[in-house]
Amino acid sequence: MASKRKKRSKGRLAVTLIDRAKRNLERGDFKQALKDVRVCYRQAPTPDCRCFLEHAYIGRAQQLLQNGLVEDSRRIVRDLLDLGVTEPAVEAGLPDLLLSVGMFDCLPQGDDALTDEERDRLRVKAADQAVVQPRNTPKSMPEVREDAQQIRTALEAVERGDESVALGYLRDIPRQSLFADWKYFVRGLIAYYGHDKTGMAANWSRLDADRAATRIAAPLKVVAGVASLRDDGNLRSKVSRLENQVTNGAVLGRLTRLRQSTADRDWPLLLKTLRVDQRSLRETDEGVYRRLVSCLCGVFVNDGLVEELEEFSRIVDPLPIDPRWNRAKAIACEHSDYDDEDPEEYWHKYLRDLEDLPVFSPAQRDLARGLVWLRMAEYYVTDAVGLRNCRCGADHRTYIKEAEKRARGAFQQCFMLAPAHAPAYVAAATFHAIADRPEEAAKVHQRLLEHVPAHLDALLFLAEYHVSHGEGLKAHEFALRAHELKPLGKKTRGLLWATHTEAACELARTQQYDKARSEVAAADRLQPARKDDYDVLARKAALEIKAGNPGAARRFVEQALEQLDEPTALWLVMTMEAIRYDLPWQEVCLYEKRWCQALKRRCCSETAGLMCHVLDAHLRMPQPYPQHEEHTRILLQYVRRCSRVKWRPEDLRHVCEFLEPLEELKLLAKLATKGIRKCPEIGYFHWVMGMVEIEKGPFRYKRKLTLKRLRQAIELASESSDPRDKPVVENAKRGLSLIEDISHHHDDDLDESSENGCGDPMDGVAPEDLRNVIETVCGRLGLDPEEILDELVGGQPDKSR
Amino acid sequence: MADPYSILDVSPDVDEATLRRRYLELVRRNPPEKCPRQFAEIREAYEQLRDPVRRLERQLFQVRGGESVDDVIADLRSRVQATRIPTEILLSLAER
Repeated sequence: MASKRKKRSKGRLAVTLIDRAKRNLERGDFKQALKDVRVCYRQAPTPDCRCFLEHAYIGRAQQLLQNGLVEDSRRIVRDLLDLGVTEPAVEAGLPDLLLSVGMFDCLPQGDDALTDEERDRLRVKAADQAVVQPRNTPKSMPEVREDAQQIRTALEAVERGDESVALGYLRDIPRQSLFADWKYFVRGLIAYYGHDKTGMAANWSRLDADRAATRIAAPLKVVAGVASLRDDGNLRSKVSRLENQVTNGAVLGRLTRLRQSTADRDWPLLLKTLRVDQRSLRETDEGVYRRLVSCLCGVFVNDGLVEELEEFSRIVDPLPIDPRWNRAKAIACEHSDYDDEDPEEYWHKYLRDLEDLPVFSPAQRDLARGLVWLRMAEYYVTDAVGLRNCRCGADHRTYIKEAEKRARGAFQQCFMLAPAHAPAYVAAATFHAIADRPEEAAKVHQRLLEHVPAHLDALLFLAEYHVSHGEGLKAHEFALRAHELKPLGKKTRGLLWATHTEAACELARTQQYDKARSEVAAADRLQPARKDDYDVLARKAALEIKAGNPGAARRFVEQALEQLDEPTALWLVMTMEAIRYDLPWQEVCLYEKRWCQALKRRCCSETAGLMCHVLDAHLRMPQPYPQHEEHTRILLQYVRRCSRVKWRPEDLRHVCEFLEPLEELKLLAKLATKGIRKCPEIGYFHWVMGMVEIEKGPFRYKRKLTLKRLRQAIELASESSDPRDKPVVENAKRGLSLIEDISHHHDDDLDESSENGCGDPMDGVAPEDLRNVIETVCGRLGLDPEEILDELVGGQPDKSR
Repeated sequence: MADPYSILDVSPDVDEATLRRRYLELVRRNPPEKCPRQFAEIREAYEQLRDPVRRLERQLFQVRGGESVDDVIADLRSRVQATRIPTEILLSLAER
């Protein structure tokens, strides 16, 4: 009874196990299925059970192989072969499996039972197998083993960096060979190491997608940046394996995520990712981590993201030179678009940090503090200049004064801490020059020369400064030092010449005629080409008159007259020099009379050009000679008479330069238009036209036209080789920024009025649109729009209209 | 211009002698007649760092403006790419 029960229970058990094995087979749990079906087959070796057993064997062997457990897989395959294969489906999968575990030679019927197609496919697989795992190459395929060995040798040569040897091994592999794929792979690999993307693509694009070489090339392509890291776990892990060759772990994926957040400007996500990943990133590769922190910090700082920087500073460690992040925050504030972000506070805090910062030596600390003060000074200067150029109409004088006071203080601190730092003096001098304080600029340059005696720019500045103040002897010292530093420099030579000429005048006024003559002779030696110029000869004549040598003076005057077609310009220069050389009043009157008489002649381009050029040079000096105003008035009348003159471009330019500071806008515009018509390639005339437009004011200027003129001026002047065109570029750029300012003010006004909700109905209209509206309305009413605009700008509307 | 420290592969606190040694080493490796572009880059980077005042200014006021996350990735990629992969590891990438 007991044995009967036992038998029944055994049978029930077998039924239960076989069902479970079937379920496990379907589920892919081959390990449990094999265990169960083995027991069942031992108990009841039915055909069904055998079928399941064969499937379980092959399934488990394939699974082990996939998990890289080749030896275990091989053991299972051996058991399967011992059992014998009867199931057609199992039989079909067996050759691949046998090949993979290196037991292809054990194929029960040999490869004769295979179709040609299947045999070819297996040979391809065997070829890949022979390269990847040569141990598993079937003995029945000796030729495959040999060729595969050649590929491996080539790969080893590439590993050693011996590319030519590697290519030598590949040379004999024909295109139809099973190993042609590997040949392309090795070539592509050589290109990969050589960072040759084209070579890589040319070879790896020919790889068969189903073969092993393609699978190897895939992660290499990701590393080379020619393929992206898709959501493919297998590929990701292969790339990580490559990364592990140089770092302690995989970081490329994490960096890619951070890059994406940066590109999307998704700062919360970026900071969250960084908070999570920073420790492991740091452990993986300290160098990469530091660079990453540094460049992310750069993003926050350079984009002025002060709040994000604050958050960032809580996640990562500060740099040794900025232990409290004050430096970074100060720079971020400088770049911020918000006015309430003030860098000053952070710079002051950083100055305190610098007092005992261990990364710097005491001398470096002083220099660093000096540089920070200079940075602050430049910030204040920018502030002051911005306020000075502001055209909003508000009175900024108090703020300008305050900003300038702070700038001066900051410059002083800088001079104290870094006395030999020349750029600080240059910045301070520029600050004074912009604010029209040449005396202070000269003092700063003088101070710079105490610390840096061979500072060419300072020497040139001081030489020019003293020449322009009629102090030739003082200027001479600086010009001479500059000339010694740069003897072939055109500017230094020109300046030295000017100081000789000016010194001659100064000496002549104090009756030191011989010294004055030797200065003139020195000037002639320096620039022999100029010694016979009419204006130089005029100066010599003035000197000789002063020295009581009228004969010599007459000869100089006659010589000068020979240089000119008509004498008008000479009489003007003689008048000016007579005044400057302090000649007797009768002499001055004599030349002035001659000049006025000569002016009555027919107008001529050359004469106008020469006179404007010479008078303009004097007008640009801080202290022009007495009577210059009267001479300017007379010359202006002459220029007005020149309406039918056949202008030469050079003369037109001189005349325009003379008119620039005189506020003769209509005449200037007329002549500049002529200049553009005659010589459209001269940027100067375009700039003049642009500036004339701007001078009309925000309601009357034509924005598009002005922009066009200024842009054209920049383009033409930048290409020009004429040194006079250099300032044209700068001036035109300033003009463009002025237009921007006008537009911004208009936008700001618009914002304010819309915020307050109390805006004037005309507040939303741009100045140029307003002008158009006024012109249209005036056109309808028969009024002159210019008059209406004059009244609007002047702020005195005529009620009768 | 890219970060001069990265070009010369030196840390920001590098001393003058090490900087010069590194510069000469790179110049020897990238002579102007063979690698003019690299040579110019190295030279410019050295010029930026050799003047202590310019270097200090750079340290104080330039917050790695020239480098982006892309550069870090590209550099890492380049380092991985430049490392010769042992043949066995390379072939192990063939597994599915």
